[in-house]
Amino acid sequence: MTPYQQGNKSQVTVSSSSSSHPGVWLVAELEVSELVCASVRRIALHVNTATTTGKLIFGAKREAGLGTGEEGGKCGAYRPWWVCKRPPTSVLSPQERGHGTYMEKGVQVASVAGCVTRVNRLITVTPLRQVYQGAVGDTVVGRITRVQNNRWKVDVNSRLDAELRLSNIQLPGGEQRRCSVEDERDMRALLTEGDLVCVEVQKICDDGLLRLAARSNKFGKVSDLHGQGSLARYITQQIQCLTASTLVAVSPSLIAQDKQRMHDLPCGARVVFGANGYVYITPTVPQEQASTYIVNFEEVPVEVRKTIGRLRNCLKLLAHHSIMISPTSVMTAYDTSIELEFEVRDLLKLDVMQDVALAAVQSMNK
Amino acid sequence: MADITLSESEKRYIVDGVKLGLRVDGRERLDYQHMEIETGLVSTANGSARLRHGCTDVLVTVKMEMEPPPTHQPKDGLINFFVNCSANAAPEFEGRGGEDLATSLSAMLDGLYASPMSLDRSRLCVVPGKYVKVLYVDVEILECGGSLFDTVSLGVKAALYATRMPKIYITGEDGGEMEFMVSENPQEVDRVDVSNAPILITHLRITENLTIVDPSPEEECCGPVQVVVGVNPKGLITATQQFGAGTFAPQTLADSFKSASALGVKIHQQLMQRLQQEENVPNRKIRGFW
Amino acid sequence: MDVISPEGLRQDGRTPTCLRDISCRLGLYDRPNGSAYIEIGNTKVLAAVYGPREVRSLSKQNLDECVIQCEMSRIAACQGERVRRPRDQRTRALSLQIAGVFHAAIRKTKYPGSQIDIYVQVLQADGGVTSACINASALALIHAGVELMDYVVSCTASINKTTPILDVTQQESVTGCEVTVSMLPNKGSVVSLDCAHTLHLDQLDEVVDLAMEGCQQIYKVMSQEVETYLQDKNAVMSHQ
Repeated sequence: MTPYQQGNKSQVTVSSSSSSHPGVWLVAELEVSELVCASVRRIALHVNTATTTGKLIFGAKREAGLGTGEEGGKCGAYRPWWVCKRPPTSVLSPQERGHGTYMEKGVQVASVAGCVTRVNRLITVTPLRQVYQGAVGDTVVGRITRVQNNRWKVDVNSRLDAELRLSNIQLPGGEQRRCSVEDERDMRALLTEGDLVCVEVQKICDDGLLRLAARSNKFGKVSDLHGQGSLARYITQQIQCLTASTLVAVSPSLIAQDKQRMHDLPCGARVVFGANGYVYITPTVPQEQASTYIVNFEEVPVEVRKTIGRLRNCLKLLAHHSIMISPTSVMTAYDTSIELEFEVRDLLKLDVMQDVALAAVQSMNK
Repeated sequence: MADITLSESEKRYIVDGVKLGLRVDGRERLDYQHMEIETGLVSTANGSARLRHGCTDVLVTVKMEMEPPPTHQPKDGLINFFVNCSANAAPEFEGRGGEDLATSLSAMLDGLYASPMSLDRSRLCVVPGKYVKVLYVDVEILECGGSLFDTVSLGVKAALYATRMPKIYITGEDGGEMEFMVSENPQEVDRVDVSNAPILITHLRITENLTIVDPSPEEECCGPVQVVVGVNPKGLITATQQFGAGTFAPQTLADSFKSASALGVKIHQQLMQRLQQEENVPNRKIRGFW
Repeated sequence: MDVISPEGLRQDGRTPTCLRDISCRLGLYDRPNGSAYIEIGNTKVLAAVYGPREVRSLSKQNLDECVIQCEMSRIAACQGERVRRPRDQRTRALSLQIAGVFHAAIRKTKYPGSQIDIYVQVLQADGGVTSACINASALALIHAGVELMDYVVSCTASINKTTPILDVTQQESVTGCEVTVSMLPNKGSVVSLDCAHTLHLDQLDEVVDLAMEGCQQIYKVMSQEVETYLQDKNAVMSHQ
């Protein structure tokens, strides 16, 4: 057997060496003034609900029964259900309950297993794998699933297909132009099922539906000039920046927070890290030609393809080993794989993937 | 098979890559992804094998039963294939959703093992005309990520190789009813001779005259038509079938057959080597789904 | 042969209140949102979760909460005799039961208009199949990052004459009842209690208590596994 499973074991060793990065795993970084939190142990905390002083005592909530009681006081029960008791004075407003938690009898309880983050009073728990939750202003990469009357349904890896309204994309004739019936008829020529778009989340509706928009020049169809009709041509010329290439889907939790989503990596490829976990890789378009240049696919040379293929496989191996995906980590993995002299196709093998992931993490820790 | 729709530009990128001889994931046209194989992981079956190949995962089990033979072939045992596409692999397979795919897979396997050259069925006979061994080969698709035919056929061969049937002794006859004794000694077993068992190699046509093997689901999206070729260990072609809506140029087909035959011999060798290696591990621990 | 020997041991050498070996694993496959595998003795189950995602048939859509569907199937060689159909009436009934359990556990109002599919594949059946399916599905849901009220754990128990026995095998369930209890371990509430065969009412309490005790033990194993999984993964994920 290939060391498919042994992988996890050796990773643990790396993790212990990388203990200079504490505090992410299931540990809320609580302010001491507010709550006494003594443990940096990477375990889930389970709080004794009987405490009223505002102190956290790590113990079992349930008095009787198996297991958890005797560990009380030292470290919490081994459970990722994160429970935290608020000081009696603080009243939780709904905004303070972050994703992945819910309130039960005044106690905040985690509803997913994952890593706890805290920003001021907002406590959220992020699972390793999840569907895209959506946040206004995020840049996402999506795929059109359906063309409807005046909107497109877009798969953005969220729990409902997002919508992109015709009125929310930039039409020829400037921003002020209203869309006409003709535009509605031409919708399929603009974007059709399977097309990729790079758009922004404009609004989250009450039922959780994401409404997307592609108003600015930097967003648009992730594609080439194949739509028919001048409208399509216009739009693609406007947005030309993304051309033919390949998409890798990873869990949205693995995408590092970043203001900029589109990166021209030094290896000669442009990568769009969609906040929803869809990562899109294309060849870089030369700057001077950016506004008019349309990439001819036949011209994507083998060398560029190798780069893109290597990037793709690197992304996959990072995702496979749950390593945060950012331009830095992707480039590190990319460089590491070259350093270790692996061919692009070697990176499909599980043992090689593991080697590269480990080496990449090590060099990032340096 | 999987419900993927790609944009035109992604398709062009894949197709052009094949033309240049470099696929999206860096493989060449006739490169297979690596495989993982383990046998004997289902203890309730006579033989079993699990094969992971890229993103495809199949579990094959073999169960032996004693049944009266069909009247026209009283001296031959039977081998029955049954494929089930588990909904675990893809939600589209829920309910009866996977039946079409399952039927074409089992029909292909039936055709592959139909010839007496592939498997000597007369060795499955216990009492001619009365009792023969029937091998029920059940294939479960647990994850579906391209090149199912190839993976399934390799899994079947591995499971048959790992099959151990207890020896059966005829102890007497009582008023026309045969009496059997089934050996309980784990050393006294019959095995299935798979030295000639064929495997399937799929060639997917991407453009006019270019085909690839072991396509990923994305690549399957670009090529509408594929030809599945059964190859035996000597490189002889035992069965072929074309799937999908599209046409092949005769020359392309001939080329595909030739390359399938060459590839098949190699893969057969590797598979057998791997299986023998696994068999020779003393007190092998079953890894199962770990 | 007696279920419990004169020495007080069962046929596989366990004491009456002893569980079989349990091992589980999260995350076998990439394509489903979540997947898990559990082994309780010789009962082996794979589970995959797809979703939450857009509902596939609009007629089922519920705009207040999510739709939960479950489908269970068995491989042909999962038990001694070959199973001819992967799905039949019995598996359909069990699927409904499993879906029902998770109706109580998933925070459905978080996913209005969406659908969550749970697919369970029984690879080997040796008693306690339903509870293994529920445990595997719970792990797969956790792996998928679906919001749950709590873990869901399930365990079986039975009674032999007057001795309650925990975690029955196929063979043991032939002679006596099989009580399957599923519960939310941190809340201590029972989400499903399913009893096959006859059981005296006076003994019910005893058996259910034992099964709940077993649930807590299984819960420990499961949460341990979830923790190990997160530790393995997050160790690397923490690099930021």
